[in-house]
Amino acid sequence: MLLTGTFVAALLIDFTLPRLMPGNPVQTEVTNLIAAGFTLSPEAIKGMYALYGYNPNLPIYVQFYDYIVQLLHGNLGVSYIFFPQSVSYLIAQRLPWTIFLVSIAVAVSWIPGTFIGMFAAGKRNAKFDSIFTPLLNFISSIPNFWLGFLFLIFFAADLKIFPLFGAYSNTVTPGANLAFILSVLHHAILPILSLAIVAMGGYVIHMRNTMVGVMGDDFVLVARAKGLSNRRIVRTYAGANALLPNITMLAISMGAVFGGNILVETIFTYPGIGYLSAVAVSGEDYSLILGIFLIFTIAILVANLMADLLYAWLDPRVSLI
Amino acid sequence: MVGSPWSHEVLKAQGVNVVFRMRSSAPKGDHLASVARESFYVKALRNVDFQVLEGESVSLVGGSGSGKSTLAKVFLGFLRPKEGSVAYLGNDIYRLKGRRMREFRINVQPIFQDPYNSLNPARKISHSVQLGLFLHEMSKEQKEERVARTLEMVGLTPVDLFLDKYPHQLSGGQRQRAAIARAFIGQPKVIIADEPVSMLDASVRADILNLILKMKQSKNTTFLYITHDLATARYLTERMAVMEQGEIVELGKTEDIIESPAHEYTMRLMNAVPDIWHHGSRAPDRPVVPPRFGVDSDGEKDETSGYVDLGNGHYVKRG
Repeated sequence: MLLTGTFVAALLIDFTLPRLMPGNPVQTEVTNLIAAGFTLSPEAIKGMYALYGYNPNLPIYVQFYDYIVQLLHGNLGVSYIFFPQSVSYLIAQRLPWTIFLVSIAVAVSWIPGTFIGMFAAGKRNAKFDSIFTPLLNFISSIPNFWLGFLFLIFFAADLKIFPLFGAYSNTVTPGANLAFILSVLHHAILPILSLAIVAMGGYVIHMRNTMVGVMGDDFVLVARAKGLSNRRIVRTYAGANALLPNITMLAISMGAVFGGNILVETIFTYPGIGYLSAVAVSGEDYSLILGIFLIFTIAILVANLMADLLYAWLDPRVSLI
Repeated sequence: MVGSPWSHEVLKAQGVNVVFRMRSSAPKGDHLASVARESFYVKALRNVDFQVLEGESVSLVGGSGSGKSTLAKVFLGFLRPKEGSVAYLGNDIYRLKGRRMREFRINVQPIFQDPYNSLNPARKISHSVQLGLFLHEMSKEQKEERVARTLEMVGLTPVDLFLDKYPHQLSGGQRQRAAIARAFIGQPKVIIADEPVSMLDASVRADILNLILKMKQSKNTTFLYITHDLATARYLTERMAVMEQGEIVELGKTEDIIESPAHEYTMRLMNAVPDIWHHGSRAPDRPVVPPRFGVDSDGEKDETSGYVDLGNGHYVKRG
């Protein structure tokens, strides 16, 4: 119920925001064409509006109604920039790359981040904690696109260890062959690292703080009085309790990872949905922007739903109903 | 100070000092120039000598911040004192290793104040209670059987109903019963109970106190009871130590102290107990001594000050 409400609200915002930007897609296109030396009659411009199915003179709620009707028919519209390709086709083409990038980045940051945070709390005030915690605090405040820039300049441009752009090199043929897979991994390492390193800092800090709180609870004192070793308490006893808030954190951070991914993909010219959205926004491609935002919204809602389900499964105090 | 020569000292603290470093949240008002936060030290325990004898019930009584809970933590092995020694059956608790450490962990068990915090919210009651047998060498079946038997003893019946419950599904009193079961299940020599009933409703307090008394008597467990409440201390224990600002100010038989308190702090504590026999009035027959505010500036312990022996094991700190 709440999920549906959130979804509709997100849809409304997604729909309104691009229309608040100055200009519109036809104007952008017309400007581009005039700059390229074409002369356009007012009839030709009118024809373009009709072609794109966009009428700025209609009230915005009528436009929204039309959009919802089309959406319910599974029609996300046609892209203006990549005309005549449909938005669903473009997204279907790009989405796997982003899922690949983001899921690996989240996995390689959340899993180690959680464990590092756990042990940092277990060894509170020890050297490990007093070095790692401030360092990771610092790292987590670095914008990931900036880190991406540094990686690009240092590893790709100067050292030439990693490629500068793309998802795979054009010398390999896409398919289930080793050369292609290696090329994909080679291209993905830098974007994944710039996403993962920054995200990990946040996970570590969050896990550490939750864990420190749990370690201060009386039941941990009791467990120690029962003879459980500190190691065992950190690993299994208190660790499981501290894990719960970190799962919520994971779901919440999905939004940030997707958001950061737009810039990181743009920097690395990675053919994912983030880069596509940057192109769509600069070209005022309303239907493409809407389609991509819709996917982002769905992804984040699904992540939250999964976190809720997981939470209910792990925490006996939470039930689904 | 006290102790019959024939009784065995189970826990013994000698000259124990515990100091906490605190950091003031803001620069002191009269030192506006100093931006750095000043740290200061709080002596939580000052030269505490205290013994718990085998089989006895003894209470530590005092107001908030008197150091009674700190002493409990020191006896449980959670807080190494800055100075002094703490021994379990003659061995320094903070130097225990291997088999002796195991023996200490089996035999000294805590019960904490807040049953909402002392049971792991993510574990079933059966798990939490069975944790009390963590160091015991028993088969799984034996442990399960013991858990069931102990839950029955503490009145969590029908047992099958409670085994698979989580703490949040129980009331405060039921949780504390589970915590008591967990403490007693391993048949420890000593139970250290830190305000075990102060978070509970008045209606279940008496039940829980009686339960502790019953469990203690059936196993002849040594019992250290920490409380601010003189009435329950009188009900549960035969010997009493009164603490104020990290020091034991009066020590003796519970009855002696309550009948004839010798230290002004003890008198103040007693005057704070509402007297239900004189409606609305607070024990008017005792003189009200004005509370002693202000902190001793240097915190130095006056070495010449000792204790006055009032006989019959009743000692009071010289003022």
